[in-house]
Amino acid sequence: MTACLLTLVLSAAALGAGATILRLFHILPDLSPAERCTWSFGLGFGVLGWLIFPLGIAMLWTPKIMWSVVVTAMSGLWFLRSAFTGLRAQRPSRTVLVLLGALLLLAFGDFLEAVAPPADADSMAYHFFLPKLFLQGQGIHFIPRAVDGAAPLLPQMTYALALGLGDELALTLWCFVTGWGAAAILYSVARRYVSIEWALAAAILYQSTPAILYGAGTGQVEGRIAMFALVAAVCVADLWRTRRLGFAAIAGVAAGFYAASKYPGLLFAVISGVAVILASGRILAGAVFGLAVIVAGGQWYAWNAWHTGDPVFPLLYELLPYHSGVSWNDLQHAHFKEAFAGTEKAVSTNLFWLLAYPLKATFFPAPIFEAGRTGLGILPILALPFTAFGFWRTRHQAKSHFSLIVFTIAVGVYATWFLWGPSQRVRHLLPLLPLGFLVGTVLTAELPAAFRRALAAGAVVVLVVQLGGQAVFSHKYVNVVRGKESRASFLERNVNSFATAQWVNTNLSPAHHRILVPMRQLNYLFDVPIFYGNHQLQAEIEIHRGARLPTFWQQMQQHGVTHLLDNRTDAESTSDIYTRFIRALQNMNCTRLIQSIEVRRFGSRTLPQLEQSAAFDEVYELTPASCTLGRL
Amino acid sequence: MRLPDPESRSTDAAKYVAVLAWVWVSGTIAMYLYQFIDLGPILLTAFMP
Repeated sequence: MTACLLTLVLSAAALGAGATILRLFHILPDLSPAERCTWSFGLGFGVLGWLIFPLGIAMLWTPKIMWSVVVTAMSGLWFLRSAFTGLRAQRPSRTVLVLLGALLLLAFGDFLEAVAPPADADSMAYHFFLPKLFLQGQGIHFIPRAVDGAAPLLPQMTYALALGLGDELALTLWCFVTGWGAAAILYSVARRYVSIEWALAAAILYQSTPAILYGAGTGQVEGRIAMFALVAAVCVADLWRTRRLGFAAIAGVAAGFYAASKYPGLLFAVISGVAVILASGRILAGAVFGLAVIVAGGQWYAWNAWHTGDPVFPLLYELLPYHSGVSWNDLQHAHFKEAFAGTEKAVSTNLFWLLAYPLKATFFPAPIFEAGRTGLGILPILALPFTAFGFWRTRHQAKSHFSLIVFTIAVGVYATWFLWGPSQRVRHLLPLLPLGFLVGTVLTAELPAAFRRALAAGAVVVLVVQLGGQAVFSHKYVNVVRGKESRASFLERNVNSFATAQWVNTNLSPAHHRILVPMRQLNYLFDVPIFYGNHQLQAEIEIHRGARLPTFWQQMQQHGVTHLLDNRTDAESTSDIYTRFIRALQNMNCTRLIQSIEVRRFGSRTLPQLEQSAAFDEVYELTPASCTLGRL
Repeated sequence: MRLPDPESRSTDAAKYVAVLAWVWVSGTIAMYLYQFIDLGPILLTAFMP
């Protein structure tokens, strides 16, 4: 109950904070009542994360100060009062009732996920683990780990707010609510041009997209970043329509929040900036946009630069001089680049694949795309020719120009991401998906009946399939929510190697021990201090190719590591070097095996039947007293 | 060039375009679902206790 109340309070705080920003730039009167609420929530989500960051680096994350931020943000609700005056209930059509039924089914599945313990690997690795870690120290400290440590973490700041003022349930409920934000914005903006039925259908189809079902209820950020992308792109289109600088500023704030949430947000900000200048024909609008991007999104880049000399640590390692003492070096950088270059892309980055990638990702996805059961679904491809036809038919109307601007931003970001981005995982395109849905909805709603019937029939089939996907995805939460399954049993079924975390928490002492963990999915579950020793991403304890054993030993001592976890059978997270180091240390009496733990491994949480195996994790104790390493 | 309007039943072209729309919709959905055909037996047992 407390967690539910806190989630409502945080939602009110987000609404208030966002409304304050919209009021500041005199945008509120231009928006419909629904848009005022949805845009406020999306922007306010970013504002809360933005406000919490400076308090974190000042080590001021106490409940009292966090509450003061929340209460202050809630005061902005005053600006939304006009959104709730003059509302009249309308009798819903039969189609609306059916769609609302589908929406309730979808929301119920998401709610089950929110009430169950978190189990997603990336969330356990850092989305939830870092807020938990930072809260233990009442503030943010710099973590020199690429990709998931020294990275933009704006959404995770709001997770810290939920976890700091509430508990784990408040955190997962907050993710549930914020995971629906983009669908709400999509609905409210689509209503400018289309009927309730079409807008609602678009929002439900978007929210039931496999990638959203998979990620929006977890701590993964893409579903939430979609709120920023949508507001920014629509603001650029509104800037073209109104020539008002306020829209350039809001577009900049939203694009800045996107950049503060994930590195690809930088591409989005650049493309949106160009669109701002082209849409307004004024350099001044571009300057306002750029300033807003820097203010809203610059925090984490300044934080990285302050600590390392590289705002996008470690991507500019070869170009920028690093501060002395930064834990990164030539060998680690080569290992990092090699690891990512070899694993993140499955097709060449050329013009052919730029066009063919969406088709391949939809119909014949490579595993690294993560596009099959967790992809963007069939609707973007299915609706493409209808959207093109709709554009042709409405080419002289305002909605066509509106759609063209939104679509151009989405395509521009996609092209730059595909040609120059570091990865080909379709999940990275998720923030652009509601832009496509918006354009598709606006342009196809008034197609000739024969076309509309075909598209609507396709959409119904897609919705049924996606709701089926939601049922399959959500049914694993039923027993734990009904209290028929314990938390431990649920996590055993849903988290690889969970038994290892249980053993470590039972047998090691938080006050005296620290364990080096090479894999990521248990980080959040440990009660004992850990060192997350990913061989690709960090050089504080070097495990990369070419690393030296004495250095490895010395660095472990410096970081207070007392135990090592070895999970050799997990090839993705454990390097050969790490295993070899453990064997060598064992031979020199520097470590001893204290426990071998039988664990379950599986490839899919939802369909564990696909790929599962038993394996053994091993826990070693460091024994410096008997170690002969220094005597060699 | 003017695209035929499928609202109009007066031309064969309009009918062909409308049929093409249905073929496209059913074809893309079928192709998309085909990649999950191996999951069929697993999905059937997914809800069994």
